[in-house]
This record gives sequence, structure tokens and C-alpha cells, in this order.
Amino acid sequence: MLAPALGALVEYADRPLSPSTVPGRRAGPTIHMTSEYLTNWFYVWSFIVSGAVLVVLILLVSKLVNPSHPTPGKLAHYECGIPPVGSPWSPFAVRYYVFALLFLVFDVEAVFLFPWTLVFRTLGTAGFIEMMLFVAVLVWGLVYAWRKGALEWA
Amino acid sequence: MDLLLDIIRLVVSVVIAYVVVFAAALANIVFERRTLAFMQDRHGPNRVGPHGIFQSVADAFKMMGKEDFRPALADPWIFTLAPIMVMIGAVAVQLTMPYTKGFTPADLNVGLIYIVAVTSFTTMAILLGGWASRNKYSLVGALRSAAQMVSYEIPMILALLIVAMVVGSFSLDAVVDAQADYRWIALYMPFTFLLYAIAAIAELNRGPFDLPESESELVSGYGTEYSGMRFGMFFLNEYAGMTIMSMVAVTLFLGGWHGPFEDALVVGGVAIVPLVWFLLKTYVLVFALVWVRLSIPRLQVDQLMAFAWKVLIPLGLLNIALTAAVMLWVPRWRWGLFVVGWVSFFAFVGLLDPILKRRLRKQRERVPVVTS
Repeated sequence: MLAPALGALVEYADRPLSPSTVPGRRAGPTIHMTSEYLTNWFYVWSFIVSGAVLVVLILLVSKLVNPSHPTPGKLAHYECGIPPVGSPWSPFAVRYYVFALLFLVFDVEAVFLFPWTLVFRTLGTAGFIEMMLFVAVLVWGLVYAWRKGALEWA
Repeated sequence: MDLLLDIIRLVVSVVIAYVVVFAAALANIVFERRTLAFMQDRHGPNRVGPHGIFQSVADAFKMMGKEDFRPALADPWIFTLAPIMVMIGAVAVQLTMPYTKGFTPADLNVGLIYIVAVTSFTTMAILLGGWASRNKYSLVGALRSAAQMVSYEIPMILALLIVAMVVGSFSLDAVVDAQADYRWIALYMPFTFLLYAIAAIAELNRGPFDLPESESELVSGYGTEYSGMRFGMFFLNEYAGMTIMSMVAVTLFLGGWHGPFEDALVVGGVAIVPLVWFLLKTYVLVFALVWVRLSIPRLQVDQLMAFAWKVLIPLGLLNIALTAAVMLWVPRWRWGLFVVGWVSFFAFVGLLDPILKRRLRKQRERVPVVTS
């Protein structure tokens, strides 16, 4: 399943986009992986870094203009006005853990579905059946979790 | 020379991203308060500037001057890192946004995956901020928020996959191209759009899914210990997120910048009319967000998770299977998708309410109401 899908994906990436190969896509610019690839990553990183720089600048400016008069009462933790009891960094409800596990499974499923969406027309019926089998296995897992009561918030 | 042009283009794109984040956040706060006030038949903020439009600018300056302290026991670095990270997502999403005809900062060929990746910065930031505060309310708020956001991320990805299937590419420019001539994806796949919209509202932590900061239960959720400008960053991100999510939705489902008279007015190589269409569609969706928040009461936490895992995810998978089948075996697949999309849309809207009501009635019968 995976090998033909990856092979088709590589073929797709190397091939110029044209109306005949891609449904719904009109004639567009040819995508050259090598030359644009680095530029794109440079763009991504400069956006991420500039997002961080902006906030740091704002926080610095606000540090310059705002007052600072810390008192022990102010720096204590808020707990509806009474002195805090115990540490909040204690073990916590397992509910969230189960959902995180389920999320991981379905996120990985999405990772496998992403390349398939681009090539499922070339793969045809065989690819469709194989992907549905893969999805069915995961849905079976979801049904199992459901029946076991993992989705109930008790 | 080419390099210089690229750098200028990059700087301009970053500045536009900054401007969109701030203008959107400040405008949305006033827009939401005034719209809610209008719908509830009251005045709302109307003192600062004409019709109160400068209210949030005044609020921003006020927040700048507020004391920004960190609780003594909180983790010093992560407590500051969280508000920085929360804004990275808002700025970075706009890298692939096709604002108008011929202007996309960078058309990544993995645009759809990139959007999913950078929007999860917000989840991480909320989780880090809540944990680093060392406050019980913050921690519970952060965990709830993370559980909610990861659960609703899956239906969102499942809806994005449909777009990738129909368009045959992950590039957002290709998605917009494929929707020319009013072949908007939302018009022939309304069910997918509905799935995406529900998941996006949950991702934004907005009503009816605003549990992470439900004031009646958790004080202020993950933001309980934050004050001053560090709190302001979370707040700004939340309101900028309304516009940014709507922009993504418009690009993917409502034809992006397409509309009539696309080439009517071009100033300096930038087509103005498509930009106007893009912003107009975006603000229709922002208005819808406000409307939904006002109309639908907040869900319970168990209902929230059950809705994602028991309703949206199975339906999302079914939708993918149906779409693939139609595209493979129906000769005029766009019409096939049109029929399937509208039938499933009306089936979902029509059946959801009675089914939920019946389940609720059964639940009430099982657990007798205690009266004194």
C-alpha cells in the first residue's frame, strides 16, 4: 500500500502541474522542488521568528512603561482569596490522557491520508479499498474505545 | 537584484501579517461588543471616538500600562514563553494566505499541512502557559483546552483532506484557482464546510465551545495568573484568530478572492477588487462567529468531547469515503458531490437535533432529578 502511494507521490511532486493530470487545477506554474524548496523554508522560518520578535518587543516596551510594585500577597497564587492548599503539580485526571492517546492514533491516520488524497485517482479502486481497510481498522479501534467507555466523561 | 526584491517582498509580507493581526484583533473586539449589544438591544461601548470605534485602542494602551507580574512559584521561563508562542501561530499562518489576485506571501506546495501545523502552536502555548502558572484553575483550564483542541483538530483535518482531494493539491493558490467561476467548494460540499466550521469554532475556543475559560467554573481558565501585556497577548490572539480562521475558511471553501470585476482596479500590481471580496467574505464569517456565540449556550465538557469523537469524527471519515467513491466512479463527479453534499448537509442539520434531544431525555430518565 505504502510503497505505491509514496512512489506516486514522488512522481506527482516531480511532474509539472497541468490540467490533465490534476482534477480541478487549471494550467499553472511549474513547481521545481529544488530551487523553491529552500526559499520556502527560509520564508517559513522568518515568519515564525518575526512572530516571536514582535511579542518580545511588545513585552519589552510594556516592561518600560508599566509600574512594578510586587508584594507577597500579589505574588501568591490565586485561589479564590484563601491561602493556596497543596501543589497543583500533582497527578491529574486520566481522562485527558486517554483522549491524547486516541488523538495520536487519528493524527497518524491523517498523516497517511494526506498523500493518499493527492494520488487516489491514479491508484483507482485498489487504492480506495486498501485505504478504506486502513480506516476501518482505526474505526474498529474507536469503536473498541467507545464500547470500553473511554469516551464517557465520568 | 532578485535577492533584494525577494527580501523586500518578505519584509512587506511580514508587515502585512503584523498589521492583519493587530488591526483584526482591535477591530474584532469592538465589532463583537457592538454586535452583541445590538442583538441584545443595548448600547455597548460608544464613548471613545465616533460610535466607540476607538474603544479597543484605548484598552490596548491601558493594558500596556498595567503592572505585569509573575507569581512567585510560577516557572519563570515557560511563563513568558507561552504568550510569545501564542502569537507565532497567528503571524505564521498568514505566510500562505492568498490575500488577492497575484499576491500570496509564499505559495508553499504543502500549504494545507502547514496551516494545520502552525495553528497547533496555540494549543501548545495554552498548555504551557496553564502548566507554568502553577495554579489549579490554570492547569484545569489548560488541560481542558488541550483536550478540546486536539479532539476537534481531527474533524478539521478530515475536512481539509476533502479539499485536497477535490483540488488535487495542497497549495492554497491551487485551491483558490480551482474555485474560479463560482465553483466554490462550500457551494457543492456544504456538509464538509459545516464540519470545518464547527471544528474551527472549537479550535478558536469560542462559544458554544468556550469551556477552557468558562468563568463560572474556572475563574479565567489558563489565563488566571496572567496580567498586563502577557495576558494581552492571549487576548489579542483569540480575537485575531477569529479573522485568521475566517480567512482560511474563505480561502478553502468560499472561493478565496474570487468574485465579479476581478481586474477592475489594479494599483501597483495589486488587484484591489479581489482584496475587497476577500475581506468582505471574511467579515461575513466573523459576523457569523459572533452570532453563533450569542445564539447557542455553552456545552458541558462531556457533551463537548462526545460530540467530537462520536459524531464529527465518524461522519468525517464517512464523508471522505463517500467523496472518494463519487470522484472515482461517478463520471460527472462535481454534480455527484453536489447531490451527496447537500443531502448529507440537510440530513445532519435535520437529524442532529432530534437525536440529541432523545438521548438527553433518556439520560434524564436514568438519573432521576432530586427535588427537595
